[in-house]
Amino acid sequence: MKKLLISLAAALLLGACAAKEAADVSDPAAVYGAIAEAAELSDMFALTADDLLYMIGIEPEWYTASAAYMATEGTSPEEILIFRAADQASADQILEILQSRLQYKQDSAAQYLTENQGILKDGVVRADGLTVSLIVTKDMEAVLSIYP
Amino acid sequence: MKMISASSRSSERKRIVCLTLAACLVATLLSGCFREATPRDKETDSTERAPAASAADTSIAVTDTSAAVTAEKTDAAQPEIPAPDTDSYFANSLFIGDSVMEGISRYVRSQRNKGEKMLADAKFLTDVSGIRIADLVEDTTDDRIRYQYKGKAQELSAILADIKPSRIFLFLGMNDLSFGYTAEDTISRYKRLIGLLQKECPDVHLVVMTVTPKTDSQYLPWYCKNKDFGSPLLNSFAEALMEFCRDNQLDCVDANAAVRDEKGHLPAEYSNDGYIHLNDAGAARLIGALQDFARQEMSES
Repeated sequence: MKKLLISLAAALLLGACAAKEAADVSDPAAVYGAIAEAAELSDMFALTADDLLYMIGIEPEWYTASAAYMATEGTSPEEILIFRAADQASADQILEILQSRLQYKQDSAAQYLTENQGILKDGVVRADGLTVSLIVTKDMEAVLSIYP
Repeated sequence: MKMISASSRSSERKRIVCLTLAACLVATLLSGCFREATPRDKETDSTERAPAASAADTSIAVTDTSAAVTAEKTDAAQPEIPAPDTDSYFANSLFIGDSVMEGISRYVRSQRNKGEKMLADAKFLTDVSGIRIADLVEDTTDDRIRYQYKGKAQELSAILADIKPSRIFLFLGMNDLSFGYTAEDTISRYKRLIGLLQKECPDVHLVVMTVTPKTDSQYLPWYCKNKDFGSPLLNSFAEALMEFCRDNQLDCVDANAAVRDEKGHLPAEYSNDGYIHLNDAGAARLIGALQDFARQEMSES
């Protein structure tokens, strides 16, 4: 009986750990939550739909859910933008915009606030099905450990 | 009897061990479930938790600012008149600026996120590439920097046509000086920029903000081409800007005075990089100066 219970406990705990590691990529908030838990992020604030439109160029109808955060400190390049696109065409548009945003940030850091170049060099833009994201953080290693 | 009793104790012990294990298992699983709270909960947690550290600094700085203003403006002999809510003054305003303004923009938006009313719905057009007035008046010999708007580099005139602001605050000039342009040339370009803005938006109310000083440190980044760049130059440019505003009947907010210490520098406690950029406390001082300006304007009208 004791052995059976111990085996059951071990099996259930292993299962729970495995489930915890894999964030549901279809849910931007869950992905951001997992990143925030794993990585040491700066003070971040959430961007509004207006911010995403005017600053980044992402139209509200292109996504069904988002988790978009930027460092509070004005000179920090850190930002995490995760979108669940409405459809494949929207995902492609978001991907293109995020790629050009990362490029803009990298180009900017080549001439001003150049101390940010290292962080920006490791920045990534990725697409996981309809989930499209831009991740720039100083703790990229931790992010990649849960979102490889 | 003795043997029966020992066997009974043994099976009782086994039962206790099993029950304890089962209880531990249930507790572990339950705690795991709670740790795996809904993603929305997690997002809220991180949003609310993250800025808490800076909030303390901010509220102190804001209190300091209003205390200073109260001390200057309150006449003990007169009854206190409630200060008008300055927020509405900034409705449909646009702040155009450089990387220092970017810091203020993030401060304002993070405060709004926390439910604070700050500068109404004012928008920010900022850049962290070292934008100069020379870029905006198309007077550069190198690659011209343009503002990013809606995901791409755009001309200021196109951006203004889209936003249609009723009031524009300008915070520019530092990058011109650090690039090596003279204060005289920069003032001359400022005048051209004002002319362009008045042409593009004839009904807009323009407000010039003076540039803020540099910290007392010797630090200059390699991309600062003007090795004489520092508070004396920035402060004299701020004075020249105020004179320019007086001569041209333009409104001016003296941002320089809002954060300048008695030696003419940006205090280290207002900077996040020991150079020219403001932290939350510095940004709060500047917001205080803007609110003072709005209060004065509102009471005059």
